[in-house]
Amino acid sequence: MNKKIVIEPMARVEGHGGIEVVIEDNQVKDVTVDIFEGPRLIEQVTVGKTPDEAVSITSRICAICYISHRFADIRAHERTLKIKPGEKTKLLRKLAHYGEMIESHSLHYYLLALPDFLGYPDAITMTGRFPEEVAGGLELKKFGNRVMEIVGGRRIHGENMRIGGFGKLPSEEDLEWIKEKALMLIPTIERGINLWKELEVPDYLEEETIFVSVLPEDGTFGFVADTIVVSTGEKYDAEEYEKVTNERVVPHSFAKRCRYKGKPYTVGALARLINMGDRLDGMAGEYFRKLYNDRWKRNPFYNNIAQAIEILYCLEKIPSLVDKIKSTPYKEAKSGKDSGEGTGLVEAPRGLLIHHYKIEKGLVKYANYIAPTTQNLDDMEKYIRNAAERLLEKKIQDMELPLEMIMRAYDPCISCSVHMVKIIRK
Amino acid sequence: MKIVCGIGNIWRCDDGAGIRAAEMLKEKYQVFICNTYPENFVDEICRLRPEKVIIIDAADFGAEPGTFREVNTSEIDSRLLSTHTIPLSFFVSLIKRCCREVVVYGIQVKDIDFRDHLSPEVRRGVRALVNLLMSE
Repeated sequence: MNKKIVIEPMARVEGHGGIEVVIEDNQVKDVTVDIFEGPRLIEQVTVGKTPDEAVSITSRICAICYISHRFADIRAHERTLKIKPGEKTKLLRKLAHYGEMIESHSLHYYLLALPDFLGYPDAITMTGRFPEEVAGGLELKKFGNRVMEIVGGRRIHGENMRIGGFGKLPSEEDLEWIKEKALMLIPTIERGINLWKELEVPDYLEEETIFVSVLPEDGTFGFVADTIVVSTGEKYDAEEYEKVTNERVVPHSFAKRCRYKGKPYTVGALARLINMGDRLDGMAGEYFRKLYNDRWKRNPFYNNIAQAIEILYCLEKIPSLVDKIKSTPYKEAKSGKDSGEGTGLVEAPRGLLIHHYKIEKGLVKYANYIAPTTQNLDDMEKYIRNAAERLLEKKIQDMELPLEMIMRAYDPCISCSVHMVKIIRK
Repeated sequence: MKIVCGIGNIWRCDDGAGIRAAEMLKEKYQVFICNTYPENFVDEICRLRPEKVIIIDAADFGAEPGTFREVNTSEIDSRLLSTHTIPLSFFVSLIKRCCREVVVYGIQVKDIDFRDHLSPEVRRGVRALVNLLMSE
């Protein structure tokens, strides 16, 4: 059989991407994930700008994950200019970031992923049979949005988080609301997690892979650290990130690709739970230990349930975090340095996010940003190839939906993954 | 009670048409300015148990700029569902669970560039729609 399967554009992912599978003489000849979203050139836009300007610019790499980009950027500048943020600043950043995790994950889990597993073409048709689940997902998303708005300053591209501190501190009333609402939403996500137990997870793609994430130095599960851990055991300081990412250009995509020691790898919620799940406490830890099995290490569909567990983790942590914020005095941090080099790491909802700067006399001289989806693209292609080969063996003709589900499971954010291509003039 | 939801982005020229129209209807209707995230207002709207919900948004149906008409949800592209955007048809389907009469008005855009004001044609179209809804 000779056939070309083209899924273009991908539905239910952010941005413009597609999958192409070429089958010749009953063999899968080629699989490509095509990114046709144009290059953003943000790394060139920030050159010559001040660190404060760069923070505002890079927040705009994404609307959904603006907090993560802003957070990673601020951390990179603070490492570069040797600025030590105060305790309350760090706690508030964590709160804003939890809001973003909840917002992004709930939208993906309930509206993009669950329709695939429940057999619906989209969340709209799913609403009829599962109104509570959809309503619950939207409630979680709305809560996440509100946390980002209260702490970040705006729902999208808030300017309140700055290098060294915050512009305005949230009110006691708003903090109390966040705490109460987080507690109220715990049963909602528990229902969402329990729904997963009834679902059948496809196995037509399974293969072990490598997982990469941050690893908090204090032994806890978390989204912020200066250490990168690989599931094969190696650890790297943030400044050594290029030993992990090894970016390269491919002809069929505006987005660059990454490999670790020549092998594709996965970042995101699944990677975080594989690498740090044993550090989870509370109900999130209990659900992880109940639901985890060997298939998680070889099947990207488990990224979906990993996201749901992370929603629960964030909701559980928020009440004590709010209490600490309220009882910690605020102190702005400043720096005397105007030059240096540094890298900021943050786990965005979709995975490890890296911002790297060289600053000279107060202006950006060099910038490099690596988004999580860029890092996942090679593994996406690998699993799609696996699925295409195995479905072909089973003589299954309609492969489009099973292949789309794989790409969706990664929750790709394509507009972030479009990474600058360096132009060399000779 | 009758509710009006204004949807859009006031920083993208005529994409702000729905919001501008909604702002002018506050005397007669309970107005929600939903911006680009109407799904965040579903709970609040349903709690009010409205008898009618009117949704106003910018649209592109190939007509003269400023033309407005009722839009059927089957005409709205539902494919654009991602973590960055939820289609209007989804919002409508959620509202229909608590309110039988849901009407969507689309106002034909001319320009959706980065500007904070409407084009003259769309401004006229907004006024015409507002006059119609105020006289109902």
